[in-house]
Amino acid sequence: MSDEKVFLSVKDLVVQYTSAGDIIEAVNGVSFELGKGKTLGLVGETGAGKTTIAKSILRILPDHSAKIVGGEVYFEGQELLSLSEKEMQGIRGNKISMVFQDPMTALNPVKRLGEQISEAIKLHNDVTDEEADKRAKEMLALVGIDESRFREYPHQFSGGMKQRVVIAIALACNPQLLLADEPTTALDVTIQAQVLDMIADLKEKFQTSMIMITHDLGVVAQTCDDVAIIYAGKIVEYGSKEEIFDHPSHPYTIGLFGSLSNMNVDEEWLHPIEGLPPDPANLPKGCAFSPRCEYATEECRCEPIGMAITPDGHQCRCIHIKESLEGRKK
Amino acid sequence: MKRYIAKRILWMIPIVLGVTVLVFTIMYFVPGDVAQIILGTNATAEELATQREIMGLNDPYYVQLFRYMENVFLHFDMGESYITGLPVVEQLMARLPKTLLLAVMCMLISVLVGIPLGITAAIHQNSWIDRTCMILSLVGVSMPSFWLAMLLVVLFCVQLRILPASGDSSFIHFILPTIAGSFGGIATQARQTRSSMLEVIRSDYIVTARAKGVPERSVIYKHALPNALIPIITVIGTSFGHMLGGSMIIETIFSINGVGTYIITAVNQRDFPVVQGGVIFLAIAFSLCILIVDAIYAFVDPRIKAMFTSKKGGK
Repeated sequence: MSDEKVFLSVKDLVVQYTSAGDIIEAVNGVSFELGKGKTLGLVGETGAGKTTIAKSILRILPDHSAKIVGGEVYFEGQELLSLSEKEMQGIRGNKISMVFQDPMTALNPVKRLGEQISEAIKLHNDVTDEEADKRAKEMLALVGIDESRFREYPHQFSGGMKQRVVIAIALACNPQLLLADEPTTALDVTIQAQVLDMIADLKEKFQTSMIMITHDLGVVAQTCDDVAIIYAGKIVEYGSKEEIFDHPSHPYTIGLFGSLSNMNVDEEWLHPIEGLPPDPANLPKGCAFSPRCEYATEECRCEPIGMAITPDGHQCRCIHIKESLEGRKK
Repeated sequence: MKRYIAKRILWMIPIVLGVTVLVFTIMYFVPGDVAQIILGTNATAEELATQREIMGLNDPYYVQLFRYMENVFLHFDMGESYITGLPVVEQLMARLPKTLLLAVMCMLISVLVGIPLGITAAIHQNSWIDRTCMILSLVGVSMPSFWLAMLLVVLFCVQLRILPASGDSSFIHFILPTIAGSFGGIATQARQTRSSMLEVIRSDYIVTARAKGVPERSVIYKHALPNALIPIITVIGTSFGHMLGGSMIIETIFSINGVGTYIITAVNQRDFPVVQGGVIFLAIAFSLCILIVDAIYAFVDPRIKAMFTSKKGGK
């Protein structure tokens, strides 16, 4: 499919941070596509570059420290990275919006919640203040908050309620693409389920496409169509949810699934992936996972590994797929 | 909120009483014979004794203290100047408008120039713009105001001859004192604004605002600045309190007949009632400023307001 036809297409995205003179390679050539109305899960550990990818699409990375070094982002045929700042402002919060990880800090503490919702509506629609307020109240009702709390401040709300407001802000202008950055990580498990259900309902209702960033495979199972597993700023495995869940092929993905505890078996120990993620300021030359991988050979450490196709037809960045698949069966 | 303000005003009472007792006590133990100061060195021992009797200086310390307190707080009378014989309260009130005018102008200038300067520096952190702003404000903080005042006089009064060097009879007379008096304030405001803006513009809710498509200008002025205001207001409030006591140096250099020059002259002449009255006046003015600052906090930050208004004491 050509880039113009796909709803969202990210190609070879490279993002670097500079910190105290060090160059931190946060995202190293990430490519994926997202169809209209679909949900893609970006899965990886903290620091893998998931949030950076989402912020790059919206171009809201901190400009004093981060830099999009290369790549292209096509959204409805339009290349976003080459747009002017002003054109980008017209897209942010309007066509593409984002739900942030920590609801406790994502809302402005000195502004009324209603005002924070209606602000986005006023910015992107030619409406009067009253009309904007009315629509903001409808959004509140939609995320399950009583209209009477329209004039309250963030400190009067609990974490779960705040996250609902954050979602209301993100959906206020009925965006076509929602970037959900670990929307449930900071919430209690019971609230998590409510928020996920709500996102799913709203997504259905508005036909919104979504990128769900998470490190929780349970969330992925519940919400996503496609999955991209990210490790050290690269996609290491990419395919439909069923393919990835049924046939994980990359040693890292297998490790992730292996680290989940099984409720049906009496397990004495959990099975974590040994070792730590590599230092992003000093990535290995070859496969970034090779230092932790039991199948790694000299070849893995020499040069960057390309994408291969697994027997069941999804992408996997590994030259030892066969060994790792056999290893999994054991 | 009203209850809170009423409570704060009540709190001012012990503060002002405490200051009064302290000031009276210190002045009581200052060496020097009051009767001698009033009557001069040529007075006879008999005249001095009569004077002491009239003024009640022979009464015990606590009697004198309570008499003074009674006069000040019940009759609003701080006594008369030993030198001129004029009532202290009346004199302070007569001079207050000039000091107030100077203080308000200095505050306005330092806010209107200092805050935008600080914001500009914060937005362009570590760039040459930031460095220029910060070097300028370093100069401003470290330059003594009397020296700047002298330079201004030399330039505008001696060389260019466009502004008067002293006096307080018209608005024009206040231009140079305002510039000299606000320079340090501008610098302090700029530094304070920069550091508190830098903290705020890294916050998550600023990213949220950007992600909504809010134009950068509004992000800074509508989302970031209100959150950065608390420490800025504190600095404005305290420096205004100081200015109300009269910027003594500025008033002296430009011969402005304000509260500052009044107190300085009194100190030089050991004019005890004026000094006492002046210090009590300063204490009241300062407490009022702090009270206003606290009220503005509540206005700016709903979390602080909630703390004051909720019966449980809030979060």
